[in-house]
Formats: sequence, structure tokens, C-alpha cells
Amino acid sequence: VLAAIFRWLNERLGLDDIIALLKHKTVPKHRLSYWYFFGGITLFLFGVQVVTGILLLLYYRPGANEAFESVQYIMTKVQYGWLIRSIHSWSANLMIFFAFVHMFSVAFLKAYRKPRELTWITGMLLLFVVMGFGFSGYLLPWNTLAFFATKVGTEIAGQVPIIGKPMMVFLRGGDEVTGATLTRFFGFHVAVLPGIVGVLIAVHLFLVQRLGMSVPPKTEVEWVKDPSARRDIKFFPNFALREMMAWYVAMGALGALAAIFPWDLGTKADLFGSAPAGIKPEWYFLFMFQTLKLIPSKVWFMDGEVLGVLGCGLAGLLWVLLPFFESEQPSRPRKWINGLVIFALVYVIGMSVYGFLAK
Amino acid sequence: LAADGTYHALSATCTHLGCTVQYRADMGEVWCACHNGTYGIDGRNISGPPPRPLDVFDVHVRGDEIYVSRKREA
Repeated sequence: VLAAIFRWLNERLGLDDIIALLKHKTVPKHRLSYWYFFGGITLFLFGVQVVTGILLLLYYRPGANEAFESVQYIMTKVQYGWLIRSIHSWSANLMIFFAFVHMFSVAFLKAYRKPRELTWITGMLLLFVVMGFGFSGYLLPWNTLAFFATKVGTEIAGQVPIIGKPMMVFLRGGDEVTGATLTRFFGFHVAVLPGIVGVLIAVHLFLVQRLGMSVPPKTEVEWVKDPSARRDIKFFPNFALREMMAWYVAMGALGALAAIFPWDLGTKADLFGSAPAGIKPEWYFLFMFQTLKLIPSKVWFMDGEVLGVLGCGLAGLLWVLLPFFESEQPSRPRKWINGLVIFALVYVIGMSVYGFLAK
Repeated sequence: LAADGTYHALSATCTHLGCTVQYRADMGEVWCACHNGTYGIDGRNISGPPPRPLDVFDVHVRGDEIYVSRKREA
């Protein structure tokens, strides 16, 4: 019977082609191959987010008078609710962490080189969207930290010349952060961003599939010189099984973190209360936050904030366009780009640590 | 209530990025937790990122009642 069903489907969908593709797909094997796993781990954590997010959606209620209480309900009354929420929070943070690891590994191995510029750009867009997920999801429990983080975050968006102010009002659903902001962020978080991210992931994976895996420039030069030196492993089952192992490890780490360090809920947001001492944004915004903090309030004729926001925006844009500065010859990679990537990594880590330690 | 016995009323919205500030008796200053900005009791921005002083309100004490009103521009 199974064979008959397969034949029926095969006639209509051409499954043979897909199977042949899987059989022939290979992944290059060299001493840096393990970096190939990190995109997959990010994808796995995204899958966890979708599943746990849907589960949370069963009980969560957006709205200034209900949100905090409904999360409280999830964490105390719903069976395994605390665990699901903890996994959702931890997985979100790990996903962003691994997206950064993936990005820097691609930058160091120069995998963004021609013909993979578009893969890099869609990847960067994915990172921005994922940070948008983080920012919007952070507000949903409607606790004090989230309230002020959103206040400051949207205020920073408001610093952008000309479009900033309307953008801030659009994000907040008014002049201030209120219940209207919460329902809006909820909409972004569960409907708008998932739609965008779905399309971007599809394009990103299609490009990866279409172009194959990149090989580091040095290895590529060696392999071009001596084609017999080239080593590949089959995608299926060899690489897929290894990737499964990586996912398995990620799942173990995630489960352990979520169970041993359950995510805090904090206290309910008080719109008229003052910001608590030691307030900080989520770690993945910390390096930008710290940068803004260090810029004096006036630089020459510009407001420090405006300068910081424009500077960060410009740096981000240059980073997105990184592939277009790279040489097309793998034998002559641009050295200054390596330097830039190292600088970026040190800067992000350094500023994050500084921001974490600073009061 | 300042040391000299006069009352001051300030906007609680930080001029930097709009956090809600608090009065710190231990520092004798108005402090914003978000970015470590401080203001004097008169609203003057003393240190940290705030670009300008806090908005100041007029305070009048009549008997037991305290009236806080928008500053009249001269």
C-alpha cells in the first residue's frame, strides 16, 4: 500500500527528482567544516520558538490589564507553562546568540563572497527581524523592565532625523508607551514578523541550496590548484546526521538552561513609577546601548543621540554591504576586511561586557 | 522639598530618552536609572547624557495646600 501511495505522489510531484537531489547533494569537508552547523542550530531554535510560541498563545492575553496576569497564570497554573515560557525566552536568546555566531563565522570565512552576496544580505535581514522579534516579545509580559526598555528603545527610534518621530508614534500607537503599544507589539510579534521571517528563511535556504556551501578562500585556492585534494561528504545521511547531533546538543542545553534557570517575570509595569536602578536592555542590544551612553550629549552642532543613531545605522548598512567590498579572487582576499571583522567582534563583545559591568 | 525649605516641582520625564526619573535622597539629586543621568534639585542637568534641564513647574504654597502649575513664560 505504501508503495502505491508513493507511486501516486511521485507521478504528481516528481519525488524522484527530490530524492536524487538529496542523494547527490554534498557538503565540502575540511578542517573548518564544523562552522557549517551554526546556521542549522539557529534554524532549529527558530523551530522551537514557533512551537513554544503557539503554546504560549493558547493562554496569553494582550492588553495592559491582562498581559502580566496571564503570563503569571501561565507560570503558576498551566501544566508545564513555566517550562514552556522559560524555553521560549531561553531559546530566543540562544537563537540570537547563534545567529551572531553564524554571522561572524561567515564573515571570517568570507563565505559572503561572490556569488553569495544575496545570501549574506538575506541573512542580515533575518538578523534584524529576529532582533525585532526580541524587542517586541520582550514587552509582552508587561513588566517594569520591559516597559522601560520599550520606552527607551522607541525613543531612540524617534531620534532618527525626519522619519524618526512618525516612526516612534507608529511603534507606540501614540505619543507614549501604553496598552496600545502592547497590543501593537503583540500583532508584530505573532503575525507581521512571522510572515516576514518565513519568506526570508525560504529565500535564505533556497540560496544556500542553490549555491552550495562556500569553502574558505585558502581551501578553495588549494582545491582549485589540486582538484584531487577536494573532500566532500554526502548531505544525506552523513551531514544531516551530524547536524541532528548538533541539534540534539542544542536541545539538551536549552532544556537544561530553561529548567535550571527559569525565566523571571519581574513586577508588573507601573506607568507612573520611576525606572528601577540597574535597568539594562537585553544583552544583544547592550553594545549599541553602551555606545549611545558614551557619546556626550552634544558633539559639535549635533545631539549626541542623533549622532549615535546615525552612526549605528551607517555602520549597520556598511556591514550589510560587506560582500561588495570583497575581492572576487579567493587567492587575494582583502586583508582589511579581516581586520574590520575582528574589530567588529571585539567591539561588540567589549562594549557588551562594558555595558554589563557599568552601572 | 529642598534643604532650604522651598518646594520644587519638576517633570519626571528625563530629557534624554524619556525614562521616569527619581529623587535620590542619598545623592541629593534627581537621578535617571536608564542612563545614569543626574539633575540638580532645580532641574539643571548635572552629569550623564541629558541634553537639557528637566521641565520646571511653578510651586505655590498656600496654607496647607501646594499648587503646582505650568511655568508662566516671562
